[in-house]
Amino acid sequence: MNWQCVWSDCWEPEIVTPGVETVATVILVASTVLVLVLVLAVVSLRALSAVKGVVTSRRTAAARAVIFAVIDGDPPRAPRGPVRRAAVAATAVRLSTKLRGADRAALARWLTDEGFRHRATVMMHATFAISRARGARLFVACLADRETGPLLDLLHDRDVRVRAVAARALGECGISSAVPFLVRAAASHENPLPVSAAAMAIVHTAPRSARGLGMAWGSGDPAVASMAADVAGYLHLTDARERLERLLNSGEPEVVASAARALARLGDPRSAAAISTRLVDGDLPAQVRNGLHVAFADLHHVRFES
Amino acid sequence: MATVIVIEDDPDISLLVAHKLRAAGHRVEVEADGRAGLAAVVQVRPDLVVLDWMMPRMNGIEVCEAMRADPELAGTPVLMLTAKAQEADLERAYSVGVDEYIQKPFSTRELAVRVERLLGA
Repeated sequence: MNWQCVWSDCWEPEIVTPGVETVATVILVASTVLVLVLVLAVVSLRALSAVKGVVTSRRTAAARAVIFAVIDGDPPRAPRGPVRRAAVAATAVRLSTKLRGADRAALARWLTDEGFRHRATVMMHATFAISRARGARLFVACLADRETGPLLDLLHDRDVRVRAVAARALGECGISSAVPFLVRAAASHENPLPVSAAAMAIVHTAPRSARGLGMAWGSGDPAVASMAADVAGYLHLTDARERLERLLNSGEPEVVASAARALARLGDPRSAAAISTRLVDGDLPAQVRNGLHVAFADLHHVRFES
Repeated sequence: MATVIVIEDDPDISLLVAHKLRAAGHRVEVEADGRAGLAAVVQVRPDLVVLDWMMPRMNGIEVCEAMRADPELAGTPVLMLTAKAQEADLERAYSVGVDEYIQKPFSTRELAVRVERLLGA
């Protein structure tokens, strides 16, 4: 058999014009260049971020050394450069919430002496919200004498992030006298403080009595009244029992559910009567009714099967 | 000089604790998660463990339980340093064999006193 003959019968030469070949070459070269550029960009970005990581970690280590020396009672002078000062401020802010007693007081005194408190005050009046929020955090780190006035003002800042930071800062300071201000800010119609931020801050300040939650109990805003109930339950404020039983009669399902949950946490069996009375009401949503049943069962130390 | 292992995932706190304990003349090792911490405890056999509760991979309670289940580590004192502040948390910590309990935010002076007490006991 003549294979060459067979091939020549079947094979048809591909027709390629010089123009198409050129275009294909250009596309190939362009793709290769693009891939190379992308690879270079990725490698450069990784290298840059690695370098930045090393620089940041060295700066943080140096800032920690300064702060540790302050806590040891051997305070150095603060660095002069703005970048290193910022690193020291950031480290101080982080550590100040983790320390208490003499350590915290020493740090606050040093920050004030080295001008960080003044800087914080300036930042709290900055144009950008992020600067105001950072200023609030730094101001709290400088607090040893509980001058909370500027922070209370920030609870009504036009930016919600700043309001939340101010609330958290007050909570971290454990300033119980701030509770009425937190409640008022949460109930405010203009620039309200998020209820969750207010609740967390109040839990941190840990008021010892239900009276500390003040106007939250009678608030017309169901979110604020629910917050009062939740906080009372979480902090186990036993003197809140009667207020919580009154909240069971609220027309707001959210408030009723929170009150029931809080009463269950308090665990006083005297509340069972108020809960069973509320259960007689047939208008309650199924979820709230279920919550009341669970609370009732909890107060009798039995498991509720829905 | 005692050997202390600090198991804590917050570098600000672990480095501060290590700094204070080194200043008091102890040899200190720092681990950033529960599993690595337990491995270090098994290997080093320290005189004291300073332990956080909430940590990645293995929490402080699990580390303490594992230590107490190992006859060679059962007697190693454990100081728990935690933000958990509820009475039930305290009960849970002591029930698994924690010897001392310090709440965050904490005082480094209090920490130093309690460490010395545990090492002297």
